[in-house]
Amino acid sequence: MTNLAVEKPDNLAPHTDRIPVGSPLYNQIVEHLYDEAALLDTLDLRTWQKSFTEDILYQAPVQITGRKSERLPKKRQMMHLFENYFSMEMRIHKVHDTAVCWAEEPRSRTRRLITNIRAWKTETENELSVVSYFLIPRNRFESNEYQILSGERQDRFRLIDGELKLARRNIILDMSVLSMPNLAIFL
Amino acid sequence: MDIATKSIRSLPNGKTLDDLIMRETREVSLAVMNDEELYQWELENLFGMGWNLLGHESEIPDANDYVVRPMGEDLVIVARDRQGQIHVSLNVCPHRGMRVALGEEGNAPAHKCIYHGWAFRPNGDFIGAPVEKEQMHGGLCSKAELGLKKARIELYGGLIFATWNHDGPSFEEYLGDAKFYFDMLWKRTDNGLEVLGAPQKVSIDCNWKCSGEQSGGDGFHTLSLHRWLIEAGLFRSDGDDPTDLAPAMYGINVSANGHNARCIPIEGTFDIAKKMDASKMSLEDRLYKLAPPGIHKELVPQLQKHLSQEQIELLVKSPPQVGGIFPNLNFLFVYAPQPDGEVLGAMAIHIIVPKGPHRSEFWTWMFTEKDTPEETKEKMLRNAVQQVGTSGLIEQDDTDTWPHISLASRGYKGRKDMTLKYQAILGESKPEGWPGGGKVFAGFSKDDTQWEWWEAYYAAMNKTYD
Ligand code: FES
Ligand SMILES: [Fe+2]
Repeated sequence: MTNLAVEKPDNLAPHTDRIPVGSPLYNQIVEHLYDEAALLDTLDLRTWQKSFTEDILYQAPVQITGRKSERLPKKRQMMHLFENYFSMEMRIHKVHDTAVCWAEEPRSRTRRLITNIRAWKTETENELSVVSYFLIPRNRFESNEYQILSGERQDRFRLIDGELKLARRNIILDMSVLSMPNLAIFL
Repeated sequence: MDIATKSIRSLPNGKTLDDLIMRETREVSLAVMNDEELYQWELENLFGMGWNLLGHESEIPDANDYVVRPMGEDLVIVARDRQGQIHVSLNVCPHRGMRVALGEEGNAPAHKCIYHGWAFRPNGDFIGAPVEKEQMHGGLCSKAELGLKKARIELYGGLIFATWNHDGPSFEEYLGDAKFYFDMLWKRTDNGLEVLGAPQKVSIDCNWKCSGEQSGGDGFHTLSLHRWLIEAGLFRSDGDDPTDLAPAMYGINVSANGHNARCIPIEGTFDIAKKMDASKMSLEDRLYKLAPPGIHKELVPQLQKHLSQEQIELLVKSPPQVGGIFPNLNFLFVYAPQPDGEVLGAMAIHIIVPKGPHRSEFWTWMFTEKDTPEETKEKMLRNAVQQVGTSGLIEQDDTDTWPHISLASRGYKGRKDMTLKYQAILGESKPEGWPGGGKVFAGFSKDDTQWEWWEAYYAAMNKTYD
């Protein structure tokens, strides 16, 4: 039986110095995350795509409720999202360029609230480790309720020519049974 | 079942099964998606006394491993004991009703209820209550009577099925003629399948039958709801217009006891296979180049060992690609043979779990052959996650359709006058030399097998248990 631990997308260089809140680099990161949230909320996905590196890995592991006193049965880590640049392009194409993505046509209203941003330098030059929390209310049709997802993003950004590019995103969801019937939105 | 059979049960509002399922005109009242009494009756007849998929043995590989799984709205513990045997027992404490195993998964030699500490073995047997000398389980019931309620279990190709109906038909009888086709999917190699991880789970505001009747096979919705498959060029199209009807609509649909399989020529479904020009290939050639998902070349000889010549022929020409096991299991085998000979693709099984007349959970397991090479497994997981399940590009469009049907069934006019219609009839026709049994419908995929799902529903619901 295989037991492939993919808690983190791959073996990334450990992080080193904290990037202090309020420093110019920290502010640049915050600005980037806010801008990214706006691009996703307005479905400006082609612009968003420009902020990935070509070796991007983007994934959301399935969460399992277990007990402190017990170990989980050994098996591979299941994912809700398990993406690379190619598959992100397929996803973006479907929702952005076609009119038959019924999970988002008519599109849902979303609001990505990004908070608790912490950032570190890493042992790889120009690579930054950024952790943030998110809360995403999603509303579709005339529902008077939101489907809500909260969680944590574990990001790796590369500074390329002064710009931040997303190279890794590991999404830790706070639900084992998702409140949404699908993940046709990006997190 | 004979159409002359009449309903022996009625709801408190006086409606009988015949008022809800109109077999002469092949219609189903939309009220079936809304009725609370009917729902309770389903929990008993279908999810209580019928066979339910709970998972796969590879999810609990070691002694004392367990997962907690739904049988209707009942939760059960599916556990492996020290001898390797798998047991299914109700996750409800016989003392005062507390949930016993609290995790979704875990490993425990004994399940101890946190409320007052009664403890149970992985096979459900009662071990004892704390303060043994005071006999805190009382003197009226013996220890043998105080175990967790045990279900009847069947392992089929490693898939774990269970029922509370200890005297009913065996699982094999239940599968009937569908077994011939399903064996080609789940019982074709020495070591069988393994899960690629825990199931994905999402919550949907719909009656479970919105998805359940889909497990009866609905080829027709592919053209509209899954239009993206055609627009993206993944599905083969023959005309100049890429949105022409996909040839994948033509094939052989098979139905038995409400279970079904859609056997479709591979090269008629996926563009990638069409480009290989399969018509010129020998049987042997096809086995290697158009192999089922996860069947790496080393595994091909095993196919020949486990399957009959007839099954092999079907597997390389018109394999079952989509289908279901009545009432709530749906499977999908996506072929993605690669030009370099690597065999990718996706194998997925869904169940829809009832959580009230208007709420359900949709679960997705993804599979590989146990003996598929490691690198291929990882690629198959990516492939599967990208196409099916929670975020799957193919399946993401299904789940948000169903709540609209559930909502429509709540309206006065909707539930009173509206019906689901299954009136596009292809009719039974067996191609020359067709090797398998069941009702066989060859041609353009119509409503036949889905209607058979409702016939099976009628038959299973038209019974009383005490
Ligand atoms: S309810 Fe379980 S020990 Fe009392
Ligand atoms: Fe579908």
